[in-house]
This record gives sequence, C-alpha cells and structure tokens, in this order.
Amino acid sequence: MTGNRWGFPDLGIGVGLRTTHFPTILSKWPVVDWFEAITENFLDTGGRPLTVLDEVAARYPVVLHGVSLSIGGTDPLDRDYLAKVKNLAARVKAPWVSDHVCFTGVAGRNTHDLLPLPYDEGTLRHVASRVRAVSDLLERPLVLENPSSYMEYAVTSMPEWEFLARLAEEADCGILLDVNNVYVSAFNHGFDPVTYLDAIPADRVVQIHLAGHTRKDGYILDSHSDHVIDEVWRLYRRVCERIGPVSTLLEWDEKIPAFSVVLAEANKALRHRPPRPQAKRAACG
Amino acid sequence: MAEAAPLRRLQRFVQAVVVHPGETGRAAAAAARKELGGRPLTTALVPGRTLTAVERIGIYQGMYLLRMHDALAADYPGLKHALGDDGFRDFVRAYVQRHPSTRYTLNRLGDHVPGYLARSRRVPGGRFLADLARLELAVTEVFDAETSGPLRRIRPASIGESTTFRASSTLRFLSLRYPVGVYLDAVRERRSPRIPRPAPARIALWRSGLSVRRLDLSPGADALLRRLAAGHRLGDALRSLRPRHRRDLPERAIVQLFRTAVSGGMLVPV
Repeated sequence: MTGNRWGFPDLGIGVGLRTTHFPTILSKWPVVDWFEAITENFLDTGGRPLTVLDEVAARYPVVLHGVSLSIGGTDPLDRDYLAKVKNLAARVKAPWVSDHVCFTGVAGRNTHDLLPLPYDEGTLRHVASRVRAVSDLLERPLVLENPSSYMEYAVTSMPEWEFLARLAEEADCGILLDVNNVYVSAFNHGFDPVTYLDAIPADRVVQIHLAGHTRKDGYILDSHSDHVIDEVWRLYRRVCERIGPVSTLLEWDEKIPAFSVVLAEANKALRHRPPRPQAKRAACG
Repeated sequence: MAEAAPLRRLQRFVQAVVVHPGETGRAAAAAARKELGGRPLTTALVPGRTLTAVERIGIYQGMYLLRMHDALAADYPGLKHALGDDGFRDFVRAYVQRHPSTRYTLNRLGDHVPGYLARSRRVPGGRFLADLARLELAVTEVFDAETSGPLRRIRPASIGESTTFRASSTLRFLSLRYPVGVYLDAVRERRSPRIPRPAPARIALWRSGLSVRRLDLSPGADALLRRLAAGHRLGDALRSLRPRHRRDLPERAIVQLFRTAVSGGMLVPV
C-alpha cells in the first residue's frame, strides 16, 4: 500500500456535481464523501452556479476538474484563465486541481473536446514544460487525466502509458487515472488495459475516475451515460490492490439519472476498495 | 520550443477536420492540402483495427457539432422551437463557422446569435428570431451576472416623492419589435406558439435571489423604471415623463409596478 507523494488525502467516494442534481443536493444534503466540479462551469458567473458551489463547498470537500486548460496545446497558456482557476480553487478550498492530457484547440479556437496528442519525445518535452509553468502559476502540482481517444498519430513513438508516466516524472505532476478511459482506449487502439494500468507510477496517482460508456459500431464511445461495466470494476479493483485506496469519483454526464442512482453506482466502489479511514460518510454541515 | 512547430501543424490539421461542416473525407482532404502540404491523411493519422483513419477523426468531427448544438440549445430553447429541429441544426452548423468558440467556456458561445440572426438574409423571419435571441441571451447574462452585495428591501408604502433607488446590478432593459416574452413563455410551458405579429415590446430582466425575473412593461412603466434606475428621484422621474407615458401609468399601475420592482429586488430605495 502506498499513498501519493504529496500527501493528498484519500477523500473516499465522490460524484460529479451536476446542475440537474442541484435541487436534490441543496434540499437533502446527501451523504457523499466529496464532489468534483467542472471548473469552467463556475468561472465568469456570479449567479446560481457559484452560489450553489459555495454552499456545497461549505459542507463537502470539492475538487476542481477542468476541460479547457489545453495543456498539450501550442497556443500560449491563458494566464487570465489560470488566475481565475487559482482564485476558484482558493475559494472552494480545493485539495487539488486537475485537467486532461490533451489539446482543446489551436490558433485561438476552442473545440471543447479533449483532442489526443501524438506521443513522441518532442511532444513530451513540450507538454512537460507547460505543466511546470502551470504548476508554478497555480502554486500547486497539477493533476492530469488520461483521456479516452479514438485516433492515433503516425508520429507516435511510445505507448500512452509510457508518455503519461514519463510526463508525471519529468513535470512532477499528479495523475488522475481514469480507469474507464483506459478500457475505452484499449478497445479502440487494441492494447492491453492491464499493461497500461500496471505501468502507472503508484505514488503519482492522486485520484481515480470511473464512468460508463457506449458501444458503437467498431469503437467504444466514452459517453458517461451508463453504469460502470464489470470489466472496468475489475480493473479498478486491480488498481486499488496495487496502489491502495485512492480518492475515487464517478462521472455521469449524459442521460443523467436521479442523484440516488448516481450515488449508489459510485458507492459500488466500496466493494472493491476499503472505505476512507475514519470516514464520517456524512455531510459535515 | 523547436518541437512545437510540427506539433502545431498537426494540431491545425486535426482542428481543421474536426470543425469542418462537411463530409469527413472531404474535410480531411481539404485540411491535408492546407496543413500537411498536400501529403495524404495517413501521414498524420493511422487506421485502427476496425476503423479507417478518416472514420476515426470523423468521431471527433461528429461530436464537435453535437457539443455546439447542445450548448446553443441550452441557451436558446425558444430559438430552437421557432426554427424546428432540422432548422436549428442547420443554424448551428452555419453559426459556429462564423462565430466559433474562442473562450474556455461554452457559456459565451451564443453571444453573437442575436447579431448573426439580425444580419442573416438566409434565415426566414430573421427579425423575430433576432429579437427572441436578444431576450434569451439577456436571460443567460442576467443568470450569470455578478451581484453587488445583498439588497435591503423595504415596503413600498414607505416610498415617497424624494426617494431615489439603486438598481440591481443584474437589471437589463430590452426594447424589441416583437412580443417575444409571451412566445418564450409558451415554449417553456411546452405549448406550440405561432410566431407573433410585430408589436413593440419593452422588458425588464433582473435576478431575484437565484431566479431570473422578467417584467413586461408598458411604455410609461419602461420610461419610469429607466429613470429610476439612472438615479432620478421618484417625483422628478414621474414629472419628466411624456404626457402619453404618464397617461398609461394610473395610480394603481404605479403601485403595482413598485410592488413588483421593490419587493422583487429590482430597485431598492436608498
């Protein structure tokens, strides 16, 4: 059993904070270990979303998860955006801030998708230098998630797990290990998900993501629209056995069911890992 | 950062395909000509076990338009209803070519919709649609607007001629050519409204607590509230109204207006 090298706590089992669940959360204050908020949904708003986030952050740990950092992009880093992320993280006392190993656009444009990077030495040096710059600006280690992907580049010269592990070491950043994304990409690209997971440095893993996906004709879509499948649960158990219990979060973003359904799905993780030590498993407000 | 140059070219190529409004094969060919110096797609992307390279990048292309569609549909439900599902899809496809997202949030993707519709000659009913979009954009702006601290509320009965007011920082006034507020209400209530005939409409929007509130105004009420929001004393504001505006504000209409504006947090006596 190992913990991460920064001493980020095991928050237990969390769920994504989604607008459709605001009324349930605000009226019932359900028993949840922690929430993850999509960073960009709470920037540049002074209205209901931010008010709700403040109220949730007063009662539960909240982690910020971004989708627009574009850490692999080739446009200059958006310092205005990063300053806002830093302020929001301070406001909600986020234990850490995460985003994805990807680019989201180029030449001033944002596709709002997590577009994959080519995995080669040049890209590794480029991304590592940007990660270090972002960590300096945020004054905390950045945590990066492996995205699911559907295409591969001809110039790729190393597998994704090697790129991710080397990036974490060279840029001194944390890893948000999305087990479902590993499963999805393994199917789409034809690699062994166990090889991937076993290659991830245990002391870099700060958080785990779980989600459901959709089988399409010839590929799997990372849709976050369903229950976690058994194979992904088995991979999750294997990760927990290797690296110990890690803050785990269930994402459900399409066809979102009632909050109780999402929470019950998230809590299935307790069948595969121990509960958080001395967990109150109750809202603290 | 020498290694960034080929990466940037590759990223420009991928983005060009992803945001292209046409069929993926043609999009990839056009992007390859422009960004890969005419080299074939397979010099950039490799096929998978079950999909060709074009099919693989096509997944991203399809999701791009869906994402833009969903973001705009969330902010413009009335416009979507007015255009119909197919019409709205065509609108989104054309709109994001002209006004792609350049921000870190999709919340601002629709900022140019009213202007785009007002200028567009291809969209039938453009003036009505532009007015409807102005209202829907204003609703999202008010929803997200910063508030300047808690507003103290007092009873309307304590308001006199010399009272001045502070307007909610979220307050917006709209002057429109179509009664789009009623149309939007009907859409939200899942009725199937017809496009109304032109008729001047004046609207105040503000946020009360966490809810966006709308008040449809007569010309006199619109003139009075604008003056009060600008800091005029109540007596001065009433006396400065044009006679025709004063005529459509009988005493009971003023009382009702203040009941709504003051108790709802639109205006606060200072």
